[in-house]
Amino acid sequence: MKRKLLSVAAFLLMTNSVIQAQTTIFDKGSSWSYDDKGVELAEQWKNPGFDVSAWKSGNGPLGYGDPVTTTITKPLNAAYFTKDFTVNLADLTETVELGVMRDDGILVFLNGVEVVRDNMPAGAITYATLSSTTIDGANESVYNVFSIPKANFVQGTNRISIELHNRGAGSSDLRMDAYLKNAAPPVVIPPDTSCNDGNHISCFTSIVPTAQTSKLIIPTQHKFQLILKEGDPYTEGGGFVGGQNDFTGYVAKKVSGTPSSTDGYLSVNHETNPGGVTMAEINFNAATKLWQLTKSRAVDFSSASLVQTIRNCSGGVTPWGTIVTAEESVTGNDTNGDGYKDYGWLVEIDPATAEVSSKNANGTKGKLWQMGIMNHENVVVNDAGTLAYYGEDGGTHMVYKYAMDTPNDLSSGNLYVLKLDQGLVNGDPVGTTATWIQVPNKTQADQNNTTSLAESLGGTKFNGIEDVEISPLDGKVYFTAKGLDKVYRLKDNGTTASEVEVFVGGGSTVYNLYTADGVKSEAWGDGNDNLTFDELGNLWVLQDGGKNYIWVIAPDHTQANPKVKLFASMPAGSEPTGLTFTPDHKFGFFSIQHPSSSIATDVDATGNTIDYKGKSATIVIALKQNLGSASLGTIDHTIQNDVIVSPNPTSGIVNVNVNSDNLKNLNVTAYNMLGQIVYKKAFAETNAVLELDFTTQFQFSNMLILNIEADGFQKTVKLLKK
Amino acid sequence: MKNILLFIAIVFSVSNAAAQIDPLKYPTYTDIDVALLSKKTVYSMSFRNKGLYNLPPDLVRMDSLFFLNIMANHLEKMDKVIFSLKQLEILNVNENSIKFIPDEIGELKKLKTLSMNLNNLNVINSEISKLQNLKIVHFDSNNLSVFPEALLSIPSLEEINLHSNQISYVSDRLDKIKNLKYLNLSANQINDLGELKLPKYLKYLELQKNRIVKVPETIFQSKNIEYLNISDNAITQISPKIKGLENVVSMNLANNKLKELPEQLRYLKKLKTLVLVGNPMSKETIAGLKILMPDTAIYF
Repeated sequence: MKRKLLSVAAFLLMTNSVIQAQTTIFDKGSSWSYDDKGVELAEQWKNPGFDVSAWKSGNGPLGYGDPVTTTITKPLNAAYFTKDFTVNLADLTETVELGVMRDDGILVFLNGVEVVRDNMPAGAITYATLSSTTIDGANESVYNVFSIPKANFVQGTNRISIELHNRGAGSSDLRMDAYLKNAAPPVVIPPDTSCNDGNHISCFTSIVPTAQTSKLIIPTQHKFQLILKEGDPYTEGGGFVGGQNDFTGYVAKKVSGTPSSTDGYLSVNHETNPGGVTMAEINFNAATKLWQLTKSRAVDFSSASLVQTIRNCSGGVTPWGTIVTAEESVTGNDTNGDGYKDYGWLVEIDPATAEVSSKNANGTKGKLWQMGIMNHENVVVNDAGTLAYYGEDGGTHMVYKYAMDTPNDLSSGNLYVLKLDQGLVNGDPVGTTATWIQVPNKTQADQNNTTSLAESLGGTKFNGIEDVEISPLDGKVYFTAKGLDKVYRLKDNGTTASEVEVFVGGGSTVYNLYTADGVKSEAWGDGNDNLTFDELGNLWVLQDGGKNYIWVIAPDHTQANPKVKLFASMPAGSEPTGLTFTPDHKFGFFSIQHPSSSIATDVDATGNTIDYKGKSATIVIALKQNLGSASLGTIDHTIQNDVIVSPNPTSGIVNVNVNSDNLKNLNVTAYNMLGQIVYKKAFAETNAVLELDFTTQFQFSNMLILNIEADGFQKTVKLLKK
Repeated sequence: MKNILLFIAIVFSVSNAAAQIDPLKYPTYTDIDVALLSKKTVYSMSFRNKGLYNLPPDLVRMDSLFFLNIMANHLEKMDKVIFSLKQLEILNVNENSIKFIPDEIGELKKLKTLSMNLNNLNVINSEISKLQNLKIVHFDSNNLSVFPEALLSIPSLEEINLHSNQISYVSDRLDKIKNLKYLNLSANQINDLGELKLPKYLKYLELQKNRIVKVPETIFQSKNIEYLNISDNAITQISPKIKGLENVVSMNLANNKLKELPEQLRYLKKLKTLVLVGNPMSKETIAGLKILMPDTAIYF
């Protein structure tokens, strides 16, 4: 179902006007009846009257293979759980929050009706049906939040039934726990003023939160185009594009001295062992509004002084137009006998020649030795070309700064590690100040042992520094710690830093999102990874873990006043990596790393069917008016024009004229100026003219926002009181 | 004689460098079906992070493979198909749940690099000593409680990484591993190194994060050590014989119980970096050391 995104005005909206006390109906660790016999149950098992008196019971979490309160039989493809509870409908909020920790997939039934299907395929489900993806790592412990409409509950006793499915009977673990409580008080989302003209790449309505599906999901305002994928033959030099596509850096070619947003190099890291970097040349065809790949080749790391590269993870684009690729693994061996350990360095590449540009003192190609050896993730260089920041994913888990001796020259400089003056507690900085401590980096022995030196000198250990970026608005340094599920920021004062704080995140932090299906809640989850700023200061956060989303955080976001949007969901099995933009920020390039071989084919902006099953792929995204033919994948504007609301202004009664026989599942929602829903109605059958009465609503408001949606259609109307 | 040795070493190193995997010459396949269909010989395969519980049986047909990466899967054992790959030189099994190494490991005679970090190994099968071409072994972050005795019978080893295990006993005959240059035993449970004899060409020695109280004087006979890390232990004093480390460039003694250091440090003319943070030393002691070693940067 395609729904057009809501326009800016609709962002005013939100939720019901009655704020209920946030009462817990049943909590985590509650008692459940369960069936773990490993057989298919009768269809009626989920119905309220089904006799479960002979079932076993125990408190959550229930399962096996991970810490549980109640251990059930193993191995299982599926286990079945039920629980009766009592509600007073008058005490319920309009939607009720269900939190479920599930490893791996679930179907949830309330009073016999399916209300949640998560990480499970569509269609009929049997005992043998396996979950869509494997849930592992920290994701196994996340309580995924779902909203259940109040209308699904009955006065008095209700029954919730959960069937939990494994990824495979051979899997070592299976676990479930859940809670149910009134939804948090509604949050009024302020207008997104940055998107008034709708022409910036950050202008979109959040996608509806979802487990990973068989396809890439991006907002309906946007399109994507496949640029290259794993296994494609290079156009020059032989060989083919490697796998595990990671940092995806657009480097503008200069046209008349100006960086081009339509002609450039696209550098794609391959986080493989052995590693590699693909250097492509791409340009934008203004007539077709599509990108064309004109050349592709492997970066040459074959010099004996380099000994190749491994696990080219993230990286950076320097202000002087080179690529820095980051080796994420360290090895101790010195194969070529040059005194340097072979792997675990940053390496600078000239995109024009697809060769390493950094030099050793003897003129041979070299890695950036003075920047130190570690599990490098990325690097960002300030616009002045004097400072670089980077972090280690693994090892020390620390944040580093490098002050170049000569601007625009990464080969020599002084190295520092970040020490929070009062440390971290539970992932939160205790104080707001920090110190940059110098780390010796001038001898081979020191360069080969950066991390143990930094650790001894007292650098602060985060957990999995995946990326560091600099805000274009205030110059603050932002960095992710994947293991702590948070993005931090600080102000660099030279030898010290201040204003250290958590900017966004926290694995269990739930953000409210305005989506095409209304307001949804979604946990940040774990795995915040690559970061990128656009020029407006929006922070794009790519997630490796959790549900592998791309989030976008507004520059004026605070944890107390969140401004978080959800841009994309990756195909099953994959994570998004390495987003960079063209200088005009019309286009963003990123990669889809390790999708499963079971994902579906798709149609991209070319209109062609694309198939990247099981192959890492690199794509470009843009607003749909900027990419591909206008007719591809767009909403039919003819239909939009055929829906007219009149009279406007009105004294209360309006007619919605639907001059189309194509609209199905029409929904009309009205919001007041506080963003509260004051009217909502669904029309399964669409008549040519709908008469709606807003007389009551206009007693309390002089203006309403109508959101009219149907399958493949959306329109927002500002309705004024006469 | 010294020059001849150097020449031999350079020739040896260059020939090794040429053996590194060039992605263009040896593309790494990540899909067994694609590899099976390839008209070219497949030398390198990676199944990293594929969620595998078992390896594809058809891997047996990839009999020219010299590189195999199966890291970050759900493997609980090393499938037999691995040992049919007689040309393997580099095997990466990191981040699985492997509990033991089968006897068949001894059949991979050409293996040069064996990496098994982050698994559940309690012991290293002695059959590994049949791998006489092995240069690099990584067994970081397993559950080993003793230094694997079998490694003493592989003189070709140049790098051994055993950090983050539970090792409390280290053989005093490490000198049998004649070519060893890099040894990492950090983050174990070592409190007594006995009369440890180190290999002659050892360059980097990492013993940090153990419970070592006394550094054996035999360590200070290692003339080729360039980097010594014995930080985060419980060392109370350093022998004057430390002057034997005549090629040491960087020494990390941080976070021990050292109140002072022997004045023989002044003989370490190549020492550029000395890290002393976290020791109960007075400012006067540090000032004295700075005068004693004007060419050494002291971090305190």
